[in-house]
Amino acid sequence: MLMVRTRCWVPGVCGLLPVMAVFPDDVPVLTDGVVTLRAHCESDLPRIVQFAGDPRSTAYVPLPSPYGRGQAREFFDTVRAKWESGTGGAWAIEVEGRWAGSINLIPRAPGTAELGYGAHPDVRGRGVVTAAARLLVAHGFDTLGLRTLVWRAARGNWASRRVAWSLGFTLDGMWPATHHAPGGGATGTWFGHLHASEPREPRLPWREPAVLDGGRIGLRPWTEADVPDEPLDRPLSRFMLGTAPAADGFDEWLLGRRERMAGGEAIVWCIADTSTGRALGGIQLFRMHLPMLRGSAMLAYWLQPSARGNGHLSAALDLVVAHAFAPVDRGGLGLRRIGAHVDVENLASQRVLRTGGFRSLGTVTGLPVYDDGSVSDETEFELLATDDRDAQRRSAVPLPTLHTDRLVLRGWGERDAPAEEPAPDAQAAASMGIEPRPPAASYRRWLVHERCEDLKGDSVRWCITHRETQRPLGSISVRGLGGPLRSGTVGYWLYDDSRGRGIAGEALKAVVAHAFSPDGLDLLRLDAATVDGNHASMLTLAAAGFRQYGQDHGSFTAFDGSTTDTAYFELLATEHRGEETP
Amino acid sequence: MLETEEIRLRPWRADDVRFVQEPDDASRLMATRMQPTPSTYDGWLRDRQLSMTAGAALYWCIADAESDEPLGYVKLARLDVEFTRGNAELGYWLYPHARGRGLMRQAVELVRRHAFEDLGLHRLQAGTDISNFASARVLRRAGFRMWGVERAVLARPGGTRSDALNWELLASDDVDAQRLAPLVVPTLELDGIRLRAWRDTDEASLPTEVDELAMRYLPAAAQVTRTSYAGWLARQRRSVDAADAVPWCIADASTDEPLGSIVVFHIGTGTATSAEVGYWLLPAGRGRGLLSAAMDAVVSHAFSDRIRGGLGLTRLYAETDLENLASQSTLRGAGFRQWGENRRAHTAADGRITDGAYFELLATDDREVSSMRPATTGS
Repeated sequence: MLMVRTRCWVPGVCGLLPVMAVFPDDVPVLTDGVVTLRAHCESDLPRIVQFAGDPRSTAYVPLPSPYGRGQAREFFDTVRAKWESGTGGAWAIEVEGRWAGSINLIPRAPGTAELGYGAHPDVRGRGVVTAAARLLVAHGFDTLGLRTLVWRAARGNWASRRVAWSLGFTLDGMWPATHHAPGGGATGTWFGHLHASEPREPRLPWREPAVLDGGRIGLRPWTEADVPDEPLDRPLSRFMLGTAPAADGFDEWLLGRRERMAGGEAIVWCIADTSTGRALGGIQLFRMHLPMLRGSAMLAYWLQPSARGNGHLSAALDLVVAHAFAPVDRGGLGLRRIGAHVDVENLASQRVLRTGGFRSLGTVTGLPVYDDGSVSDETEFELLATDDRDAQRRSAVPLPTLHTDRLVLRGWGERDAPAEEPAPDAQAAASMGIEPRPPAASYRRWLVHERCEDLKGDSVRWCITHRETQRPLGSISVRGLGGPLRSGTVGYWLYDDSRGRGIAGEALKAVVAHAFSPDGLDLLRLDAATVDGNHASMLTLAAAGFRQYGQDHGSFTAFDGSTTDTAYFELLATEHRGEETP
Repeated sequence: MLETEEIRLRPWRADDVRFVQEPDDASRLMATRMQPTPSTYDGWLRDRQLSMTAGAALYWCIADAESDEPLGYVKLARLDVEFTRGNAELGYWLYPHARGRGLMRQAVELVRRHAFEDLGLHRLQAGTDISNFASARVLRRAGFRMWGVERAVLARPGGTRSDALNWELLASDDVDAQRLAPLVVPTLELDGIRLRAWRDTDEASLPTEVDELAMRYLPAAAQVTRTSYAGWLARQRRSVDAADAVPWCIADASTDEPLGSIVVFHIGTGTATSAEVGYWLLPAGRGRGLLSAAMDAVVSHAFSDRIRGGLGLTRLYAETDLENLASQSTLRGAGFRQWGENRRAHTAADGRITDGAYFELLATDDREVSSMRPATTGS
């Protein structure tokens, strides 16, 4: 940088400008060889008039209208007067021998000035203002001894914000309804600052959604035309409120997303139909701006109601995961981890994550809290770049309906809620570790937790119902599936009025057949454990071919508090088929 | 008034700057943004006052009850976050000279009561770096439950990554039932060997690879190598802090070199006073009959009353590969009784699916009678 003609830089009231400056002689010339800052001159006026007549200038800068040579002259006189009174310094930006814009410093407090700029339409998008601002920032800090620069712009003036971002300004916030909006009315004001001690480079990347092609769907940036064409249904308004846009307020939503991307916090994609271009939903990575979590991002996604059930989210997830974990030098984001949290009641979303290879790491109790005061639980998921994603994919084990002489075994559903809370059952309390029967008051919640379990793909459970009445009689499950053992643990319980009629045995035989069938669970082994002394259960197991392989002592505390012995049973597929006798 | 005999929680004041210290290494790593330096104190205090005015958080100075000198900091943050109303995030730090005296335990207790009883919050949460054992102990003693580990989520200075532990405590929780105090690994001096806690320096004595016998009979990751030792040791220490296990190193009494491992683990599963026993010997420790002495000492310790420094257990159990006769002989020698054997239910470290043999020992058993110790013990 060259600096010509300095003289007598006495810190004035505002510590900024020369006292008794002579215009234009005392206006320092700053240049990087391409862009030059110099005093304004008469010959700049025609291009200043062109600047003021451009719609993008008038959108964000309050300018007199109409704006002719007279107004340009007034501006020039004001610039001169400010130099001479020491109340502000404006430079002309010169590129290729022509006026390209103006840039100024206005004293705001001792050691602090506000940076402002504007560019002629024909130089925009070439980095001219950024180069000019870089010169003036250096001048302000290094020569004038300023300690802080502040900046503000109308909310939505992205060109101005990008210049401030390039120079390392931190965005401090937004003051609503304080700036002329394009086309009238008021918009917010962005404001930010840069201290002399801070690096003059972007604090965080300005995030831009890459265009990603996924066959039937693609990911691309949102545009003003992507106004949702369906109303928010219950899942969207409950689980995604504030994240998914509504038709009403879409512009504000879009502006907010762009702000978060500009701040390095998030990348928000539109999931679009490849053939029609219609916006089907959205997917976003967020919480990317926290230094402590660098390399990690959270994930959220949604689809408009009519777009669901087509695998679009899984396709979008695959695109985002591949892009997120790809190295930066190959066009990716270079992340090492993606996390997601999902309300336990949001089964569709959990299905997408589990089939997508995300692992659940735990469930938070008592969050989130909704506007209506209701409280839910939330399961947290993660996927690391180093994970074996395919090995981690999980989906619910298929649950066929099984028929026997007297019974139908099928999944638990909404209609199976008990009419009243289960009465005390001493036999169950002495033989089970927990109360197995569903509660009446919170049946829906119980069912949701059961279905969350199903999605893990390591267990399967049936409601045992009476063939004629379809009334639930009890439950039977196989757990611990999916490992290299190809083994499962059978468990069952019956309502007390269904016991003593061979119902458990009848259900167990059907489940054992399904467990060992190549078209069923295709297991090699089943086992079971029962409280020693629960003769009914032990006989049921024996009748189904299970062999007791041992009995331990004092090993189990039932939910009535008693400590009991446990009897253990197993059955191999070969025995079941009669190839071996137990 | 949030106060105990030793500490008082009060607002931070401008004149506390006299006591503000430069963060030590632990604070720099774990409480980077929570702790001020003498030069940043004014802005740090102003930011917190602003945040309190906005209802976003509460910040206390943990002050010496007598001198009023600041010893540390405790906060409830994120009070203003949408979708988490009634929930707050707990954070804290202590200056080095105030650590190790149980002061943070008192401060967290005061804040918990205040949060649930005065502020009407329904949930507290906290996050710790997995390597911050001291902080996790504070939370366990306070009754917080650890609900999940986020892997490699924290970015540390120098580009290293760390796992984050997530904790919660609900107002509806039985806080006293959930409190966990770390277990103690007592040093037990025996004939020729010593059972002692594992140390960082034991790494040098470990093999570089799991030997063939261990591969065959031990579950995956039970025996350690030099490479896996640091992670294994951290897991052992966490399970001690979680009152889940007491792991001993079986060391040579004269050289103190590690010869093997014996651990009481899964404490409290099945019944509140049951636990599993596991053990292995390094090649150098085998064939010397070490395990029977170690096992006797561990069984005695496990069944001793808590009041006498024992674990107060009533039942020990063990599982071995059906073909691992040496191990079964060790168990029988210590009085364990086999209660069952099953087929195709046991996975060895090398991936083979084998049969298992299952043993148990009750505190009420007459061990002398049931002991079937062979003439020569071996493993």
